[in-house]
Amino acid sequence: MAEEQQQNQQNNEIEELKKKMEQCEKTRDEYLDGWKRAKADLINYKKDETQRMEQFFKFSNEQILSEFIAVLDSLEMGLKMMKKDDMEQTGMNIIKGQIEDLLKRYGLEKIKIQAGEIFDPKNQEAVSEEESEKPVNTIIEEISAGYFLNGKVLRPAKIKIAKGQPNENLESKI
Amino acid sequence: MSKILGIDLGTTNSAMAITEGGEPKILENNEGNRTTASIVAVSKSNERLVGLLAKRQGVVNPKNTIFSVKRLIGRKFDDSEVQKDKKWLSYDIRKSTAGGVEVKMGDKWQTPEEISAMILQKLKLDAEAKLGEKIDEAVITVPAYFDDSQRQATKNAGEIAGFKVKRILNEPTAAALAYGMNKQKNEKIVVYDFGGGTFDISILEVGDDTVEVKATGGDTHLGGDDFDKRIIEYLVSEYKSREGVDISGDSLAIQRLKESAERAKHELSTTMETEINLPYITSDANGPKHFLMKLTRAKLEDLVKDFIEKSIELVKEAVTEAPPKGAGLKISDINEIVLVGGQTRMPAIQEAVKKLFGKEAHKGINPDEVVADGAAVQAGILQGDVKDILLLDVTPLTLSIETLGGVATPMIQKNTTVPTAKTQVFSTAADNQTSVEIHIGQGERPMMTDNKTLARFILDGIPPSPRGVPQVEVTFDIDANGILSVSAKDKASGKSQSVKIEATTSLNKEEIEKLKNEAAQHATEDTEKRELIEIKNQAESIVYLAEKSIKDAGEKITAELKDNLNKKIEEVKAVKDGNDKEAIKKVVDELSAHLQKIGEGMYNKKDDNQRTDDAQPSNN
Repeated sequence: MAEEQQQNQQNNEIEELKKKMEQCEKTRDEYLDGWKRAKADLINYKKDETQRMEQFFKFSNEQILSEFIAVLDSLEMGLKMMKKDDMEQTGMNIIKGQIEDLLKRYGLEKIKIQAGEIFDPKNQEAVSEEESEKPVNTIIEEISAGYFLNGKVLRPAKIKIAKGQPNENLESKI
Repeated sequence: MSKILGIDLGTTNSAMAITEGGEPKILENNEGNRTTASIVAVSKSNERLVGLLAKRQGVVNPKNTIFSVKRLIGRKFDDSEVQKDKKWLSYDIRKSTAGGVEVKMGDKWQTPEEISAMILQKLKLDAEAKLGEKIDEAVITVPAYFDDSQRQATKNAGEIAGFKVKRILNEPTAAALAYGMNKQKNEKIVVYDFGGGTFDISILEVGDDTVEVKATGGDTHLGGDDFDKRIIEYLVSEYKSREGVDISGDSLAIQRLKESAERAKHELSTTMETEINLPYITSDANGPKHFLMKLTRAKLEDLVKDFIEKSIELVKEAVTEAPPKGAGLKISDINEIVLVGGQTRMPAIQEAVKKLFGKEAHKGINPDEVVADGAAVQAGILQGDVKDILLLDVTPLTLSIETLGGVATPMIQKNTTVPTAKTQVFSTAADNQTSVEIHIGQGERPMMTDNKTLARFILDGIPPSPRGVPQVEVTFDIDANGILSVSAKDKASGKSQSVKIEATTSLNKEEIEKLKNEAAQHATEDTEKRELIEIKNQAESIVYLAEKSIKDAGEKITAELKDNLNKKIEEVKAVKDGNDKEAIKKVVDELSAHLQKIGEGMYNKKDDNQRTDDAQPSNN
């Protein structure tokens, strides 16, 4: 009888210890998981931060350049209004070229647009359309220049496109 | 486990975020923008475009450019809202066989769910590209007033896009979650959401683990865009009356004016006056015309006064009217106010809200991103990230060690997250110094006497050596419970000493505030004191160095230089214990300049020798 009681007591103790161990293992796993997550988060954060810094250096001038191109627009408009073959206009054109060269060194590049090309919303914005003999959806005129900054569209080129029904060639693309 | 994406699927713009390290983080789309225009189109060349690209061709392709589809999702075609919107939407809509709405895009009729799914799919693809992993699950937000059908339709849109939608979350609840308000039991919160095209008010009540929407209100056709329109109208009419030219029909001029008006509106949130400057806006018979006009904050506020007043009336109604129209509460019952939407950056709106409730609204998180942030917080809770986050303490005040002249040299700066450790090597201030006192203090003042002393101990047994030679490594280590262990070890003898200080982070609030305030009050005088000590220390070092250099150089320098140096050394010694910073600096600089001559003198002598050697005849 006493032996049985002792055995029972031992069993109980073992059960209790097992429970305790399970609890400890659970807590350990939780902690280990939390620790791993924290380490992984730190590593990921570092990676992100490096990337962010790279982007920052590449695009730190974005704000000022995007505001500056509005000044370039005005300059361009002013030039258009000036008399052709005027020495003053030549001088102003040289200044404009100087500014453009400078901005180029900071990664700013004009988006090249040619009349007759098909409108591409990736780097152009169509602000108006006009009846034309040209095929539909082709560029008629550039209204204001667009710019890339280190390959990213800083401002799309604003363009006027030809109006009409989609032509058959284009439709067959899909 | 892959991340769950939190998505704010907005009427005008959408945003997405994930939870990382327990914090929500906005993900940029492929174009590098933090928000994505909620626009889908089939271009004239039959390409499907989503977001900014769709927007860029909207003007020339209005029939096939679908925007504001959120206004239609999950609604019946006969719904009065749908009938109202039908009048101004530029694309065609019709009644579906089930009585719902269908939208014509290209040559196909599609449901609003399918259109929304295209936006969600773009977000999914962009997020996957950004994170470099697949994302299958999402939390999507909807306005609090959305009924079951609208919620189900939004959920369907998510599923069509390839998401398993883990939760459809109310937008105001998301905003409250972003501010961590779900923990503030029994609080009543007003969410004032002024977006680009809609104005929503929600009254929330936080219960046990739930956030209940008590009432909603607002105006589905009032938004920031109306503010922009008002500004443009004003500018056009002012220009007409001043210059006699009507530019309202000139699309290019209006386009330029629109961009400037938006910029002016943003600028006036931080400045009192701005200038709209558009050279060559148009031309007439007399030549080119320019647009140059000042816009003050007061004028802007006057222009949109009625919109703000209307919004405040609608808030009052939603809070005080008896249910179901309102929450049936008193204005004073409201505990917290959250501002959402870009338009709430306007100081006049913030003022009006403050005046109504008599308290400041929460506005720390970017109002364009707060809903997506909250969706990510909910996603984090669902994936277990947020729950498991340990709350880590910070050291409220700087922990320093006293160095030469009583200066408190910071070891661990205030607001550093603990646990953390920092090690720095110090040296002795005098020749043959065999012991150092480690004096540990807490506080922001630069002089140790002004800070709170935590402990001091002595490390002795340092082998006698000239000043600056011994290397004593001091380590400050704070564990997660704020217990600071400081140890000092002499690298040569290996002797070490340490001390443990309990609960450095558990200063009471008043104590911390007091120490911080003192630091702020004495900032100028403290800096001066510190600069004086620094120059005194410099004087001490340079005298020591000069004396040593003279001894080391011996006969290699001229007697004249030696005399000069000794004279300068005496000059420094005479003033170094005084309090005239400038006087000490002057003689220290002079001594320093003379000291350089030792080197020059030695080289010159060496050069002379060299020349003598070279002059010797060669045997070759």
